[in-house]
Amino acid sequence: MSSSAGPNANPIILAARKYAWRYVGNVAFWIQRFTGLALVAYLIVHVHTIHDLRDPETFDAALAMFGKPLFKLAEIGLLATVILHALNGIRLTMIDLGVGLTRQRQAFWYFAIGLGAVLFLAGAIPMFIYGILRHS
Amino acid sequence: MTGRAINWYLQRITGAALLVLLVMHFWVEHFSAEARTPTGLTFEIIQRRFFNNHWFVAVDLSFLFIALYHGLNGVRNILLDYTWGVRMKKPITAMLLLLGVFVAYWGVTAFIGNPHLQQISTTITANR
Amino acid sequence: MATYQIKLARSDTDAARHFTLELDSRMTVLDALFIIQREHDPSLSFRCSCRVGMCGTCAMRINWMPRLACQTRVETLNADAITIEPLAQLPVAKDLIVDLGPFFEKWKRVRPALHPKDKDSKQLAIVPPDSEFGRQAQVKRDCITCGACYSVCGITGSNSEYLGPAAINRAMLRLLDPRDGNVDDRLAVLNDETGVWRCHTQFNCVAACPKGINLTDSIMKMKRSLLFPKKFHDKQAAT
Repeated sequence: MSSSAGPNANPIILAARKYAWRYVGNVAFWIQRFTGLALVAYLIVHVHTIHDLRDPETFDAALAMFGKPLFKLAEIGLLATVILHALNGIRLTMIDLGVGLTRQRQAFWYFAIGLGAVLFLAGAIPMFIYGILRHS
Repeated sequence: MTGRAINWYLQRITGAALLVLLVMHFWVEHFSAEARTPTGLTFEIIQRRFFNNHWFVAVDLSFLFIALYHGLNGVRNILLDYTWGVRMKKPITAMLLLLGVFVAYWGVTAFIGNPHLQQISTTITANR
Repeated sequence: MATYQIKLARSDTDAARHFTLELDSRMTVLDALFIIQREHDPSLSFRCSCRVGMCGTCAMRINWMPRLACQTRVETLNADAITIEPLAQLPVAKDLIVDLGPFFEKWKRVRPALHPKDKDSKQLAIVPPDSEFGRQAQVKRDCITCGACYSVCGITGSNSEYLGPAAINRAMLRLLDPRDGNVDDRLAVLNDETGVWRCHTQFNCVAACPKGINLTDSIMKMKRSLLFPKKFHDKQAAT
């Protein structure tokens, strides 16, 4: 990786590249934090929608609104958020158990990001086709 | 064992539980036969589920409680990461607890003691 | 020999910041600082002592990452521009010198010294290399208190009361030490809201540690131990 970089390489890019591997735990930490906060916010809004079950008309109106492409797109974003938080959460739990502490960088890039991307595409493509393309 | 150790431990346990519950939740809401209709989920489907199979509500409500604990405890952990957060620990804990109870009340009352859910469903079961 | 553009952080706003030096590729950043001080600007302040990476005095941010100046050869930076700044999250005394006061305040809080159970013991402690203390001490006693871990930790940045990785690592070694008797005080400090529970496994300390100590492993060990703290009291009873 660094062998390709000559002495005239931009030091900021070099440092960023090194950071992305060496300090990846920090990146994972902030991802976990922001996705976590987003999910708490979503949970509260979601329960508020469910509370509309007390008024069937409002509830069906809300569900019809959430069927619109814009909300389906947001739902795909939600899927990405959940997958990142869950897979990185598994990585963190393994670390807490004392398993794979020296492999945490690989765990982030290959497990949380790599497997996460596969899972995301597996969920996002059907959601896009059935939720957005078929809708219009 | 101290409270803080148990709190730390529970965050992991609830995280693992949420993983299982979330997969179930996603399956039921997005991929099950009832949900894959052109209209998607409607009030009617949910009330049919509610009366045909009480497990739906049991799983949904336990999902709600576990997710609320995991989420709000996470928020508390974030706030305690700040110097002022540790100083304001008690008000922060009280506020989050209040918020949790409030949201849990929203969620529970959507099913338990919901007059609409009761009324229409009896006609549906009678029609069958 | 190669030409390097060196940019320094200076506390005096009028002081020179940019220097162009001809350096041998095997020279260290510390050598470069000495050249600047001797030939260009004698008012430059930095701190060093042993020059072989065992005293932990010359830790500073070199190209945005904390490193020991004496151990960082300029060629390993792979860049002809070198930015040198004092450690983050610690008060700057002058130029590249930081006040390690906050770091050592936390260090003192865990009672870093040995508190022997029996002060007058004539017996030498036997530590088998495959015992837990033996294994942990083998890789974790090398801490040189340079403050690098403290300066990159995300939590010390937001919570000024947090113990920091080095102090927790030291407390763990003392707790495992069969000669030590002060279990309760250390556990109380670690179990505090500003103790181990603030760590969220960012691994910044591990990435920064110039001695390659896995500090996060120590903190996680202490977290797990605090679920069953009796373990350390049993140690007292056993010996």
